[in-house]
Amino acid sequence: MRILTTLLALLLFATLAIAQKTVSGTIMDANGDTVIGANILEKGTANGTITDIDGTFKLKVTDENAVLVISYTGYANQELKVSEQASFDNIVLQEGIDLSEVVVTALGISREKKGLTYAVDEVDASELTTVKDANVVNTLSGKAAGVFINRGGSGVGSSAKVILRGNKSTTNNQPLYVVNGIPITNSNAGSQAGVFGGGVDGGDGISNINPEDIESVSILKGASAAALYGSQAANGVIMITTKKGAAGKPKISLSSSTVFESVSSLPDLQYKYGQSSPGAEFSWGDAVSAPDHVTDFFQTGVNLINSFSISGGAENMQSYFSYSNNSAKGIIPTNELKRHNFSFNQSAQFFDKKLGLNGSVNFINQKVNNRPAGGLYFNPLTGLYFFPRGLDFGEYESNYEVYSPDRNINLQNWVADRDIQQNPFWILNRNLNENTRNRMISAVSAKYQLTDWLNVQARGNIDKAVDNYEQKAYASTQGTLADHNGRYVLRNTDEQQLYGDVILGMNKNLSDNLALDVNLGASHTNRSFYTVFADSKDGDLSFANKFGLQYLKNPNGGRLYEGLSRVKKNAVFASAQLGINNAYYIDLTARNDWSSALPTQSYFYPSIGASVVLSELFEVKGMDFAKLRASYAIVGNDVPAYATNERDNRGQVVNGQLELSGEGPIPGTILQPEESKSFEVGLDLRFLQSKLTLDLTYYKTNTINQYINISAPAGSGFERYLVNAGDIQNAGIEAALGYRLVDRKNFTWNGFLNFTMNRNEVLEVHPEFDENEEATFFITNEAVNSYGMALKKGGSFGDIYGVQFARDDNGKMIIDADGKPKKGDFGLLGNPNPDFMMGLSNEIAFKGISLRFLIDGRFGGQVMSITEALLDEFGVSQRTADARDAGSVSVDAISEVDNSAISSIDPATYYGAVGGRNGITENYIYDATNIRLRELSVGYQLPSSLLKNSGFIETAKISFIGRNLFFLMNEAPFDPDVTFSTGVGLQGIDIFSLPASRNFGFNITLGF
Amino acid sequence: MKKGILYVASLTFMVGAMLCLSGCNNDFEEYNQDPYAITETDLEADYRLVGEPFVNMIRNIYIHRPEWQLQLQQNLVGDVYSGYMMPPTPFAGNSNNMTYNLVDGWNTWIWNPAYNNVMSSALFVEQKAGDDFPEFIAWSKIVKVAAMHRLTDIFGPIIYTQFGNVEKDGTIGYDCQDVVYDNLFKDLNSAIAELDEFRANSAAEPFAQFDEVYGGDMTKWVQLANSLRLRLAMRVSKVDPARAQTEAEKAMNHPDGVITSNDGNFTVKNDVAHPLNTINSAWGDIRMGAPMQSILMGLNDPRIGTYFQVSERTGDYQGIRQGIEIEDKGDYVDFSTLQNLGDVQLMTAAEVYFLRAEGALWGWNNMGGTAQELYELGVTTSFEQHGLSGVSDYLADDTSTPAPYNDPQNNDNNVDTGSSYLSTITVAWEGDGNELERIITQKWIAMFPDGQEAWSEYRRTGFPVLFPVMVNNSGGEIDTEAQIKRIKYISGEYAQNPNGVQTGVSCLGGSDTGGTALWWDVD
Repeated sequence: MRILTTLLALLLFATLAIAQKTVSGTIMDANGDTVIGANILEKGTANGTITDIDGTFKLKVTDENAVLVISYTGYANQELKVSEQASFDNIVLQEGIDLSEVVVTALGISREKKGLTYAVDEVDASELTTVKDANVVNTLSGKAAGVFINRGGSGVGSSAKVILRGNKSTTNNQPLYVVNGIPITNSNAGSQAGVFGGGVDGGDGISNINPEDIESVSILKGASAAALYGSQAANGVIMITTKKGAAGKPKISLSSSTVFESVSSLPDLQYKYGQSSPGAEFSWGDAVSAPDHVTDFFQTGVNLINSFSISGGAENMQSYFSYSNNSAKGIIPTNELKRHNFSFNQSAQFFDKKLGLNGSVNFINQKVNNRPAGGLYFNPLTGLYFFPRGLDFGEYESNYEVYSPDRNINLQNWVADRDIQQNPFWILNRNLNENTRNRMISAVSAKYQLTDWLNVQARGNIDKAVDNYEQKAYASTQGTLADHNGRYVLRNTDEQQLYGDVILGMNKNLSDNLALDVNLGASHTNRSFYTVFADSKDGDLSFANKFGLQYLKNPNGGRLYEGLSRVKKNAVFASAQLGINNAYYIDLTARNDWSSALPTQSYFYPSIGASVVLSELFEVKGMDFAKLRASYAIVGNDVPAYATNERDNRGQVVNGQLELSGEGPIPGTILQPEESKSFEVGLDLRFLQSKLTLDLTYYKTNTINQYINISAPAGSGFERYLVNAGDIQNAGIEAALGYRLVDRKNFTWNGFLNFTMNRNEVLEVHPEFDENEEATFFITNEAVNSYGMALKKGGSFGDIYGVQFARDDNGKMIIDADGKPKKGDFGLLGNPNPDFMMGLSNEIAFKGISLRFLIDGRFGGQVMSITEALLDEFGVSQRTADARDAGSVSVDAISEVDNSAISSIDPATYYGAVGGRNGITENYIYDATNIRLRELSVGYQLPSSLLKNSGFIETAKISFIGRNLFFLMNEAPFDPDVTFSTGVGLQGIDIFSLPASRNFGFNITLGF
Repeated sequence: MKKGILYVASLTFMVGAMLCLSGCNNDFEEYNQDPYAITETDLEADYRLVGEPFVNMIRNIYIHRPEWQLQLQQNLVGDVYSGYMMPPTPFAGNSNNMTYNLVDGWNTWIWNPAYNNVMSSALFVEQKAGDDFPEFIAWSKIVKVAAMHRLTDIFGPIIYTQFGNVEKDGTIGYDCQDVVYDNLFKDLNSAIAELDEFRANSAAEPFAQFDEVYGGDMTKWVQLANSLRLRLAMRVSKVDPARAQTEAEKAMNHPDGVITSNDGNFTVKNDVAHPLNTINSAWGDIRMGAPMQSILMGLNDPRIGTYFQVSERTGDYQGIRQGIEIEDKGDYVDFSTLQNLGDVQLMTAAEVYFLRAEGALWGWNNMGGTAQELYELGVTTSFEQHGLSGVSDYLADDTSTPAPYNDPQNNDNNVDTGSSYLSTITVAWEGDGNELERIITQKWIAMFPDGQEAWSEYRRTGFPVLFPVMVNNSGGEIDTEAQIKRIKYISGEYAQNPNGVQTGVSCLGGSDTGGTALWWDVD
């Protein structure tokens, strides 16, 4: 007890003994307006505060000679010497480039932007929260160069496909997501296996993040920037920094966003020609007067996001808490999403602020009902569009099931018995699916400042997501999709990632003009993915419409599976940056990985970069800043878990029998890690007090040693060889132009224009394919449909293959003896990747009113529509009605029989041959060019004078928002932005995805 | 001071962490496995590790499932070239295997399954059984012989001894066909010796739960091995008569002998329906062959009713001639269908009697009877197999001969009386110099529906007399009268194993076409 008292007394004494001085001041901008939220930091410590609503601050400093650093976005930092005065009134911020601006780079290491040798794009939080999307990553679209985002086609909250600087790998092209320096999982949930669809999109990892919790986003597109993350970062990194509490009075923020979604364009359908004959599926019959039954099928979707956050704290302890509730219904009836996000972040500083601790917990609960999936199976849109014209759709809506005296249950009532279509209302009500996710991301970190130039930090996190998916298809669901008593699919997964690292950081000015920044570290990552899967299909259920594992009638006939995929990775890494005269910078990183997926080897990858700040060397009038940078990096990527195991160990029991997989590396070889070699060079320029900024980058990335699986010669003892092969090159230019057109007290106009051009070329696949014209490496196999995605030497990633028209030497279509266009080769038809992309955003603020819009354009590329092909075959597209009105389809063709010229073909014959999922898909290739008004918002910030009267509301803003409001140009009959699958294959193809939609609504944000 | 301690402590920690990394990677091998996946240890009980592969192996000598693979493996190859059957379907515009335009994409399914399903499983068994379970290795050798002699009889030189032995440049070597046969005999030698030794020391039946042929009865497997030896011996009887006689006598001299009754037939007994039933009934892709009609009807053979159904069109048995012009499937689809088949049949007691009859005809020792006795036993056993009576009347018939063939769809395909394609062979044994034709013709009838073996024996002996194709799309590679001699190597081998396939071609004795006769196919 005595000891404790003594200790307390000592502590008290120690606290008192520290010389303290309170400094205060007010900060204003160039226009003389007070600045709220400017940062004031005691230099060399974590001690700081921000200015309040009146622009004033108060800060206790520990050192008589402390230096305060004042920083505010868009303005240069200023240093104030406390020794000179204790009160700083009306400090005016200096406009211009903040040359000491700090950006967060790999592993969360802060770097001066000035010295970076590679491109880092930063996106401010307001860009993500103004016009919200249920999946936050979609809001990055058009806001940074080199970033290519396709929305998933599964409605609200679906996964996204994000590609940084082009497609590189045959296994995965999505970037790594990092929150506060620590990777999180982002399983590729939205991928589809084939044209028939039926894949399940539980939403990807990033879609779970509450945009309101985000402080800023950095995009590390190139391998140089990402090299420190090692293999996971081969496709680039999207780094998210979340909000944390700050000392000062509590800040409360409320925001509410209501966004409506409505169909903006449907396929062009006909309602003029009726059913071919009674009982027929097609509508190639006589003229009828049929109503439009399609438009009213869709509903107006609503997405409600309500968020609450509170932050604040004392000098040594700060907290941030937020809760967000997302409730949405899609444009397809019965599709609903509910999500709750809880987030808590606590920071504390001890021992004269030398030790900083931070802990955070995020909890996400999400439930999605009847997530629509594209494709031909279980999709209400097929039956909806195909419905034979002239029949009463209302009859099938109200009686989608009818009582069966034979079975004593209700059975589906529909016009056709075909796998690719069912009664849409039957699908909505009797082919149910539900997906729930519970996810927790917890992280802790500790950082100790050993000396003013040396610190050590340790961090760790657990990211755990438990998903439960159930599909219940009732008896009389079409026979290909379910058995006699229905179908039950259960998929429970548990994904977990443990990550820990220690980093020793050194930051020392060796002399006045020599600065050294070194980080040494080691990390451990352990990822596992556990699956329990059951599907009653082909084994049936014991009882009609009774769903549960115990009701699987013949589990061996269906599929039962339990498995664990896991990878453990250890790494050591180091980075060093040397700055000379604040003008020359050299950057080196090195990392070595040991991965359990490649147990017999480790792999090393280095990066090197250099930059010259030209503006430090000579002055050009009007130019504030100029930097030339170049970097080169190698990043390895390990192979999938278990890939290197010998075939002998890979037997599995299928339907009660041992099956040998017959896959393995070529005898005598071992699998190597994939490798990306990338080079980039860039120029960053700032003019006229940063009123004009320009960043230019050229990059080239070669991804080699791709992990692919090829057929093995029969005598080898293997069916498939696993090999490293290929060379895929991405080269491109990125340009970002920023401007401030008007910059007055009550009127500002800022803009941002970005440009991206990526050229992808497949330099090599594998000799088996490269040396044989006939052989093609398919990423998506054509199977029974006239679509495939292939990798072919000389082609480019994503190449769409399909059935071509047979043509003669003069390019004329050949018509066979039956009068039908003849099918030609299964060949290259196009590539969905744009030639270039541009995004233009403008923000105009006048007094409290702000207007902001983003125009996003993708130019070039081709897409294919299987939807249109099937609509033609069924005779329900407007095109077929027009052809029937005209009496024939005009063609420039010759007859195979006698070489006579043919100029017209009967519409039913023509579309019967050309249309359909296995027809001549060359006919269904469209230019993918599209330009759209991606985002529009008009906001009004209530004047503070008005709010002062309320006594407690400090800020209030209301805005009207719109997303994807309209196309300025779109050649394709669907929205090419929406991807059918977020996986590697099936790109640039529409297979009954949701129709294009627009979003509009309003936001209310209140600060207390 | 305090700083110093922390500094040192943290550095130590860092270094420790790094040092750990080399040690911490020790469990990577174990970690790189799905704990839920089947491991070898899991499969030790009940010999499943070395036994389970037999199910797959045996079901793929003649592919059970999927049916389309069997269709390509044998039904559109040997089943047609043997005269047993013919599809009514004009696949690929009627330019296909039937009309001698060999379809590479089809023939891949002859080659690949033999390796992917049979040889790789046998290799697996060999590796896993090691010294512990030599009886399983012995068994795998018999199955291997049962499968691979069929493959070599289709292509000629094949990969056999070098299977799984991938050279540095990716090459897998071929064996010339004489080497293949030599090794088939050697594998039978060692298999029989091993099973003899096992049975001398143990009464255990470790094969039982995996054996869909003999339910684990090793003696029956030895009898099958001897019977296969007899079949292979007969195959080389023209090219190497001495070896043939030695091997045949060796088979007969073994204490367990050969298959002598129908309960020893090599049939695969499981609940998988015969794949031909689907091809015949559901797909309508196979029908009776014209020679079957001609010979069975001409000889008044009651087996016709157990093999075929009468044609819906003619009300009588009606076959399709091999390699004819077919414009539309509807033209021939209502010709005679096959009767529903039971177990897959790969060798019968009747065939063994005919082999012995031929051996006796050549004067080989210990065939267990005269040629006539064994011939008549063969026919009798076949009648028994199909539950038919009247065998003595049948065997006494010395007047009936194969009947003329009439194609009701197209008379151009007819084979009229007096045609050289109509044999005058009778059933009754006579010392008329036609004994070989008589034996082989009856063997051909008895072996139905295994067209693969029937085609091989047709090539060796020229019997029974079959009708040549009407349409020959081989571009001169295959002589219409001599008929097809083999299948060309597949393009996959040329692409992936070019050096290997070249060694195969070099000992083929001719170019890689369907017209080059195999090593044992000499006049």
